[in-house]
Amino acid sequence: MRHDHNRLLLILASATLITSAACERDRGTPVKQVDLGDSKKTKTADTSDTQKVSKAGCAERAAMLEAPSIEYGKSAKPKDGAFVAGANAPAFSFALAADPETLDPSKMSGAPEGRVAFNIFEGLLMPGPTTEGLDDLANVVVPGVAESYSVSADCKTYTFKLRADAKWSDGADVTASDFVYSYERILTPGFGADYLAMLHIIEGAKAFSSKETEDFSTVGVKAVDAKTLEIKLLQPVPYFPELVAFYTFFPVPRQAIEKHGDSWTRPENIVSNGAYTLSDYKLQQRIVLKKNENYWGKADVAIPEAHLRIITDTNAVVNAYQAGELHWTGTGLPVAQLTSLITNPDYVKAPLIGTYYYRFNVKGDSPVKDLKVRQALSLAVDRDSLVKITLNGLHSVANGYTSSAIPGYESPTKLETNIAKAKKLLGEAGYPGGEGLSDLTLLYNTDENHKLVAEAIQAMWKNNLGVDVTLVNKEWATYQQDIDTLSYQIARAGWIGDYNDPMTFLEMFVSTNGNNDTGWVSPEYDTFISEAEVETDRAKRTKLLQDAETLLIEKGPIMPIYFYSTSYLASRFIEGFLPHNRDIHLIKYVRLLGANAK
Amino acid sequence: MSRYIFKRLISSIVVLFIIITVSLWITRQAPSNPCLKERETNTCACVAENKLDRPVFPIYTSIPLVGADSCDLWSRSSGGEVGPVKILGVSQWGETQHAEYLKTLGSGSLGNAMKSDRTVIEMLASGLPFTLQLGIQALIIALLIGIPSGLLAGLKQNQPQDYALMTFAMLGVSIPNFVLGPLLISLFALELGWFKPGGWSGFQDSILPSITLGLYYAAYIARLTRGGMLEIVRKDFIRTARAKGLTEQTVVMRHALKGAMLPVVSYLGPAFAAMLTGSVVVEEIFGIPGVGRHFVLSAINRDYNLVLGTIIMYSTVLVFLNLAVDILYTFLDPQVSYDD
Repeated sequence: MRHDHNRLLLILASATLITSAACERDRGTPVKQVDLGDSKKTKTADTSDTQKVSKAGCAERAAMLEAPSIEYGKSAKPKDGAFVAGANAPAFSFALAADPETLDPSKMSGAPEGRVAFNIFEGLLMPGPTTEGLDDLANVVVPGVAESYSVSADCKTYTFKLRADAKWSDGADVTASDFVYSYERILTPGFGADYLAMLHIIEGAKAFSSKETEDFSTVGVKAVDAKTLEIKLLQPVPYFPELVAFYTFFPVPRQAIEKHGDSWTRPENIVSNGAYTLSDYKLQQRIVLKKNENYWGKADVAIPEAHLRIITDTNAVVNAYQAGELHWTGTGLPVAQLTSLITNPDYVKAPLIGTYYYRFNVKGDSPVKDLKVRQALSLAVDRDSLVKITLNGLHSVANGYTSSAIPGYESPTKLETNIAKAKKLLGEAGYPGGEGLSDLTLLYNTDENHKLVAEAIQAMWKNNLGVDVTLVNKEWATYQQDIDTLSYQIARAGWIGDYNDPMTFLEMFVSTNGNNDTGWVSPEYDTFISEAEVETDRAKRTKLLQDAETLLIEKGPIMPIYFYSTSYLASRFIEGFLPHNRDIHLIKYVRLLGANAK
Repeated sequence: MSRYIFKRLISSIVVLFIIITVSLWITRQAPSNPCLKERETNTCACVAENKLDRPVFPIYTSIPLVGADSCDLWSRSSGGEVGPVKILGVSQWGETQHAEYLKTLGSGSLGNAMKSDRTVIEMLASGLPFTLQLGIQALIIALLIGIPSGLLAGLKQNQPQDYALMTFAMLGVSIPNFVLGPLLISLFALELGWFKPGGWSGFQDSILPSITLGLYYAAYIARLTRGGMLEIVRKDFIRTARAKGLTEQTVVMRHALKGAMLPVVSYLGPAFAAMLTGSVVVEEIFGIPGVGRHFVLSAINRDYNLVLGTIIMYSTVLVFLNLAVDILYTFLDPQVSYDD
């Protein structure tokens, strides 16, 4: 059963992905060719240039991209008698929380789907092995099908050079027209791509998908030749490389789709271009991946076979792990068992770019429409004790809305606990001592964790302010409908960022954004965001985003509570399995050691 | 007899039609819809693909499609209007969701699962063998344990054997399977390592879940058998049999058992159906790829087609099991006859 949906529904999608750029004005080289695969060579041969541009615009930032470098062979081998995770597994194994809804990367939108897609398909660029220790956002992606790319001076046109040896698993070449075909397929009106809106950053894409034109040549995607792909964007988008490394932008095999129609994703029909191929899929049981012998980078792929076990119950996942059947739990851990699991030597906690918060419906006529009431409620919450005691330290205290796990951005806000101030504000709002504030409701979707948090906050509001709030717990689909139709007063919410840029958090509170869901309208905020979208100076852009966040926290419709972490158990005796702030782990980076190696 | 069966079959089809119609209405009445997701996604394509913008029945009362307000929806041309209720014109009667669904059924399909790229039949067919095997094994365990201990307890009424057995039966009925399952796992799988803690790759993996599922029914059947036995042994024909000088074994096995089994047999139909539907929890605990999970997940996901598919499957099973039980009755109880 799906428990934490914001984690399950991780990943992308934004209704209005029109954003900004860190593109500085032209510095003399209008187009810079970036060699991704061999960036070290580029650096040494071109040191002065690299240093000159390291703080600079989009094209130059891409210059710092590096091929993934993991040091293998450094970890300790398991001692005799030590528990070795996965020792009883026939192949490298981990759990999926649910059956993927689809294996078509163009259509999908969830986390289990992504686990499969990232391993069997490959985009122009790919997520790197880790986000730890990165200070430059450019390094979150590594070369994929593209071996190099260049960016135009206005940062809007990307030209990708595809590697000559990129092949589909049936041996056919991966060509630029495969990408054009894939994007045209997604944009075709009526095609059920969940993340259709992601592609709307491409010039002309929205007009095509909303039937304004039937001419696909008006869309800014062009196969210059078999191995050169050109994408024109509406706006300079600094995180475009990370979007390209996401499955919605992955190519799909025209030859298989035209032959098999909707059933092209079945193991017997599928053709893919990633490090692995789909070898077998038994509903509710397991997905078996086998190394793709036509993959260009197969020499570096160490694990020949992987089993993705579909286990919906998190307790069953832990059982399977303890029985040595899994190398990595792959899904969330059961909250009830957490205190005992934390002491497990295989336990890993890593930050995610995600925020758990409460939202206020400011459109209704409830008391939370009053800013002072919202501020008082936020000030009366002791986030430290909530995270440390109620949640056993599972997550970390939120000091703002934008996750602290995004490299290169500092949140300007500092959420505090100040009960005296809270009481004063509540008095000013006309509810001294909480009097008259009796019919407040707090909505959350049925889940053990959400219940714990809601009860703790209910108690804090009662003890600190004398405010009674009624908890309303609804199952997932009903909760979603209440949020969508603004039928709530205060509601629990979670947001997992789609890419490593504050924009993924901040753009959703623009008044026209479909994910706003609070009724909050602030022309001032909208202006900050739209200015940031076109700002080409990185420092100025950051400042605009920080101003927007300050406004959001001080006057906005939300009350951040904690920043998400992901917790899992992973064998100590595997290498190349590293923390990632979007919880993306590619099997091709992993190697087994000692008793584990099979 | 064959006339009776024929009549029952006809009425079963009517019952199924009513079940389908009512369930279709109820699924559409539930808040939210399968196209609404946490984040703004491509709701319109999903609504159009599943024809959710069509009226549910010819007499149409509006069901709001949350999240689809900006979509280019199917246009309903006007029919009659009675107060707030719109009645569709005759030409559109075939275009309701209900009619579309019946058409799909008529073509031998249950439609596509809305949260999967499989058809409903494929999903049910992939899970049914596991659920059936689990159910049958649990039933066998329930009968093998339940009937002998019920008989023994009935014969030794108010003696130590009776008290001991009924205490166990009471325990079996009271311990829910979500407690028993994890207990068995932690003892036999994690501590002793005799079994795998979850998954299903062969008979070995079916033992713990079958015991978990069957034990409750074993206890219940034991209590039913005991009750039946107590009633029968007081009957005149048993006294006659004893008076004839028959051995105790013959009295019990040939005369008493048949009668004592009647309540158990009538319980078997619903019990087996309950094992199939009630295996949801056991399937979840042991990670069994059966159909039980579709039953719950489809409702949570608002996967209309899968909900209806599981309902049709279960109601068909239930209808036919009940029929089978009624026929079985004629063999056990000479007073029951369906011949005109």
